[in-house]
Amino acid sequence: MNQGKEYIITLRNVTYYYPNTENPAIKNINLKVKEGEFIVIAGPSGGGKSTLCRILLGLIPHYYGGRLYGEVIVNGLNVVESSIKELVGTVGVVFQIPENQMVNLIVEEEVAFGPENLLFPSKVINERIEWALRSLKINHLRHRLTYTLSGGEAQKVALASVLALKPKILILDEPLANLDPYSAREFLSLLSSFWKENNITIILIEHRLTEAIKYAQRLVLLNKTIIADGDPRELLAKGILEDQGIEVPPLSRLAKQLKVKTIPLHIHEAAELYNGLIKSYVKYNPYPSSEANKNNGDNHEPIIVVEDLWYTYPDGRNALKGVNLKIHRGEFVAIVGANGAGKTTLIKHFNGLLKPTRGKVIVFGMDTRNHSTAELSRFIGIVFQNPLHQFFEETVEKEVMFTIRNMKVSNGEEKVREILKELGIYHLRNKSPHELSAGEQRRLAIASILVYEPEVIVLDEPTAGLDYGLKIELLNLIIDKILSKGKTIIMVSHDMEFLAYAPVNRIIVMNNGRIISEGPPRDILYRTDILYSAKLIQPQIPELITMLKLSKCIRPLNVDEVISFTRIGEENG
Amino acid sequence: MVKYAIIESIRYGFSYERKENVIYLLDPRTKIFYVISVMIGVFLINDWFKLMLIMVFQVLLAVIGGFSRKVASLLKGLSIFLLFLIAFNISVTYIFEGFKLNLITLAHTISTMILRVVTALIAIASLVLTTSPWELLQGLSKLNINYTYLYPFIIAYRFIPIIFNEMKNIYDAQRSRGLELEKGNILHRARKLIPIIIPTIVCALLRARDLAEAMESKGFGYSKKRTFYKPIRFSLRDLIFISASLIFLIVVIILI
Repeated sequence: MNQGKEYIITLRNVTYYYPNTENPAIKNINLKVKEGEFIVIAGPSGGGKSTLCRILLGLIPHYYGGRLYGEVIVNGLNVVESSIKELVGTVGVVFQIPENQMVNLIVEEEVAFGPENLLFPSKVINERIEWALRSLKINHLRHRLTYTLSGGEAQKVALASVLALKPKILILDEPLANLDPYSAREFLSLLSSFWKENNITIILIEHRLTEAIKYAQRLVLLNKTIIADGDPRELLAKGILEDQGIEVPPLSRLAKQLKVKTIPLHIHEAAELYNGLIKSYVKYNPYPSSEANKNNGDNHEPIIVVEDLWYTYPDGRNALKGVNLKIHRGEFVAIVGANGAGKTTLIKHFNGLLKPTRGKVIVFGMDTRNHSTAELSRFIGIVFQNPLHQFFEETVEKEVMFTIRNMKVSNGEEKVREILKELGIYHLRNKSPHELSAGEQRRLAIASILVYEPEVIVLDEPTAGLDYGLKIELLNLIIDKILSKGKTIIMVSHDMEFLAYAPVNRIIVMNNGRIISEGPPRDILYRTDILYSAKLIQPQIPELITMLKLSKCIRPLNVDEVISFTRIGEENG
Repeated sequence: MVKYAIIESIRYGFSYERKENVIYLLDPRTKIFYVISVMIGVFLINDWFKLMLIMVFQVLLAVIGGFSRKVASLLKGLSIFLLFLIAFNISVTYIFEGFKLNLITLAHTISTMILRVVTALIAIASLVLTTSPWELLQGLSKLNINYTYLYPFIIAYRFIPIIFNEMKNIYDAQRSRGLELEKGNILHRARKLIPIIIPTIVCALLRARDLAEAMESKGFGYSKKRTFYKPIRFSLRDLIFISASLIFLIVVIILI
């Protein structure tokens, strides 16, 4: 539809080596982008997505150095030959972590920052602020302090501050990674409507394809080099994404299983497409009520008991408001909720990192108020969200040894070797933790807790920053190495698609410091009212079944279950 | 917990919040000038009654500007340092006066010292609390200071709380791995800080890289000059404020 328009970006045989490296970060990239396109670039972690982004911004080679081969032309300018200054204002970028891109204290000052640097007169800057804030519908945030914004709001402000320069090309480097599902969806639909109303080229780098793919005109798969480039439906039909470990939206995966020719990208499309198909195959046994489906954990003894727990931060904010909770031995519990719902504050009470302001927490019969974190940690091992918050030793092996030594476990060295082998990172034992890939770092973080064999493993947002392939790897690790040993798992997450696959017994929904609901996944993931009030979304398959009004008959959580709950599988096999 | 409460009350006491009133609307240059003249004033005066008058004037400003609660929080947070200062002062006087204590002179020195420090603190607070770093930057730019030298201070102001917060999370992560800072002698404890310090530095460097890329792509350092979306203007308000406070200071210093 944009035929005849100029290419605004041309990359010809681009290969790049970071300084002091022997393997190229990307090689032989050929990419042409037309003005006004909306492109999604997906690829596994470490596949060179951020490198490509830096090249388009001119940060490579001007800022990073290294060796760049080939030709890079952005908006008619040869990036290598011209300076960054000539590119400023043409290409805008929004990064992953919103708080790291903001310099100023007040939202409107932040939006003004770019145009001020480029010496625009104050009248123009004010028009730009007005326009940027209004286009993104965030005029009400104008006078807010940037550090009081929620993640979703902050990311919109970061976007506004880039748009104030009226760039021709907008690059977003994993802008959804730090947002909860609701904010992520909101951000994307805002971005899409901005794109429709303005003449701008958008390059969205993202591996959460389930959300992003609806908006893509064109999908590029990048893993060091360009693996595929074309219409998203065609690429999905060819099944190239699976091979690269990239997230395939469940709806599209379902299409392949059902042998449907058209691959739906949007839920409404899918509902229309599958309506007859699924309905005709459904075995009409009504879904058992939640009474009959009660989780089996109740038979076991409770090992964590939370009674009327209140927690007030020193600044007076109530993070927890009367939480009651029991966790039983051998359960796999998921705690879900939007950012700021109080999930992490709650789990910090399990090993005594935080002590109740009111109420109490009993862990294996011990009141956490009377026991130190070191004592409680022997029973409750918490793996926090960011692996980088742990690493300080020179080698992987020493990193795990640190925990063993603190916990005074006998046979330490042998145990370390065992756990490293079990998690498949033994061959990396002499490397620095910082040299590992994202997936390996996550495994190391888990290893350094698993090694002393606590009864309960708490995982705080374990899928953060992982691509689809690594998530599957993590899931297998949880099932084979933790659950199979009879350990209790508490997982904090807002990754709804991951929840649909994990063998969770019970989901606890938190909102605003309270538990608003709990129950087995088949209940909770079909309770749209509860999920929406907690600012969460349904995973795609439950969303589809709900839309087809079939949730009274079948309640599959993922693609595999759709197949086994209907007779489709039987006929085909 | 006590340490945390101190830091928290100082942080709150120094945090800018946007309000609409006359003090907030003053030209940052006016406020800078005011702070400098109060500072000079309090170090010229050696009489506790005069200092008291200046302090009352400051408190009045804080009440008008609606930031008296923050000033109180700041003083509360710093009270331990003030106590330390008093103790230091007593011991120094004690030694230099030949190990004799004249209670009246001592009371006089201490009260003037405390008044002086507190007054200077309130003056600085009234600048920081009512002026966003961006306004301050503009004020200083107009005084011909290159903005690229000033931005590091704004960044520090913005990122110190973030990094401090991250450090708490790092501490929690390491405590969950059995780290106990409370045990052992001082040397031992110092070595135990390594698991906290190294991740903090690594994470701060990663933030710095992100920030540098974001600033670069928004044209920071594009030119030696920059424009401002809301230019500050020296108005009648400022003139009145400056002359009123100057007259007040001169009257207090010379006439009374």
